[in-house]
Amino acid sequence: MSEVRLFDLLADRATQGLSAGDSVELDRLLADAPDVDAFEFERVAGAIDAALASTPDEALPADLRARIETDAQQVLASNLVVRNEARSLPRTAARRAPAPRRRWLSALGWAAAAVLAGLLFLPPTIESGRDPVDLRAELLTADAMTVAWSPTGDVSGPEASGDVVRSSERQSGVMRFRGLVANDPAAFQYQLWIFDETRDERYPIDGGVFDVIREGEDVYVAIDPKLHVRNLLSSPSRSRSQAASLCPVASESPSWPQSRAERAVLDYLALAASRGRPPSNHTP
Amino acid sequence: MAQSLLQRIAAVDENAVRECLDVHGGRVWALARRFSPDRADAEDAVQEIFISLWKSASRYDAERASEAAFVATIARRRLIDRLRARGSRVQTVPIEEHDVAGRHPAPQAEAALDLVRVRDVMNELDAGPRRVLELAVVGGHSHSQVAEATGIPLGTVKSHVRRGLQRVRDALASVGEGDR
Repeated sequence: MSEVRLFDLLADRATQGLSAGDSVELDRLLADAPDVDAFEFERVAGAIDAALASTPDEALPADLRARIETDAQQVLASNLVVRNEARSLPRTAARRAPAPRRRWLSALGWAAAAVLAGLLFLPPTIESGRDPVDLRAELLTADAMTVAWSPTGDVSGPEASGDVVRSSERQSGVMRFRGLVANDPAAFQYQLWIFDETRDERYPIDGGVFDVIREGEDVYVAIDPKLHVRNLLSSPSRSRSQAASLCPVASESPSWPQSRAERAVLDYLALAASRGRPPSNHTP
Repeated sequence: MAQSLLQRIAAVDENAVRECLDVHGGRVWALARRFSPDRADAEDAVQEIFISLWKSASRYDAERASEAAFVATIARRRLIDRLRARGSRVQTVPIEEHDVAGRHPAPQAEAALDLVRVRDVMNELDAGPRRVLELAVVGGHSHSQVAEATGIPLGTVKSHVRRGLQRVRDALASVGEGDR
């Protein structure tokens, strides 16, 4: 009976969405059925829609199309250069990514074990588009500091680890994440935000998304030169229970004066699994 | 093998963005209008959908689904989420007037293999279950709305939806295994 209920809920989610209560029930049923593909029905519904949809009777409105193309330029120039690399790890039992929660409640809080001090403000011409694995290797031979991440027990990464390698001299850095649960990008993606402690905590100053394609792979994320950050600070004791916007916020505030004190720090680096839906109060 | 549009977008090919909008823009717009209460909401939804698509482009796997199916999956996810967030269902067109499959379906020759198989499976379904699946999936109607419009009990509607998705799923799995 529970299997029928499981697939009924998956069918509901793929066609009409779930109530909060049903979503919780689905999470519980999926936790007991690790071999079930949690997003298969959604892909099937997408295929049905694509197969049966009639030829559109109206083209995309011109002004809307222009906005979409502008969004595309921003997204394609996203500040996250990501590379996924398989590791040679002992094989573990195959796990499906847990069904993402309906709201922004499942935040994986990460905190560096120590403060990375120094200036991260980078001119726009440095390191753009560099392969992050190569960059990290290069930084490690220079004066780079290495700070390890520590997980907070979220289901997305109970055994996760990683580090940040950053060079003050080179004004460049690479984040590495290990052990995150693989995600289906059609369902959810990992969201990386950077917050400025001195600014409105609802709005990250920068961010982006990435995916974990295979269980056990390393994910390398280059810290983009457009990121206007003074000091990167993380607090091991803090973790967010709710995430802010998915939409990449402009990474550099035109009004942020260069003379602002070096004391401007980031609150912390937060990593969360999300649906990619901006909050209703988000103003880019 | 030529790269797909999404693969080219992942490689930061801006021409591919324009081509992607040429190919998929109209369908996404039509889908959004079906699921949205008004035109302004549909426009917001479409913007969200394409932002999600640009970000997901690098993960598109042509072995797993056609590009059209991938785009539709992402679009549907956003639209259903928006419906739930509003706490409402959309009834843009009365069901009895809604020709879900369309009077002008996309030509068979243009459809990818998975989509051809989907149409075959849908045509193999009995009329009742097929109609339920069309209304629930393509029409964007809630199961309650489908039950009310068709006179089929809600429980039966849900069974038709579940079994129909399972049947199409199994057919697509055979496409993946046998037809490459």
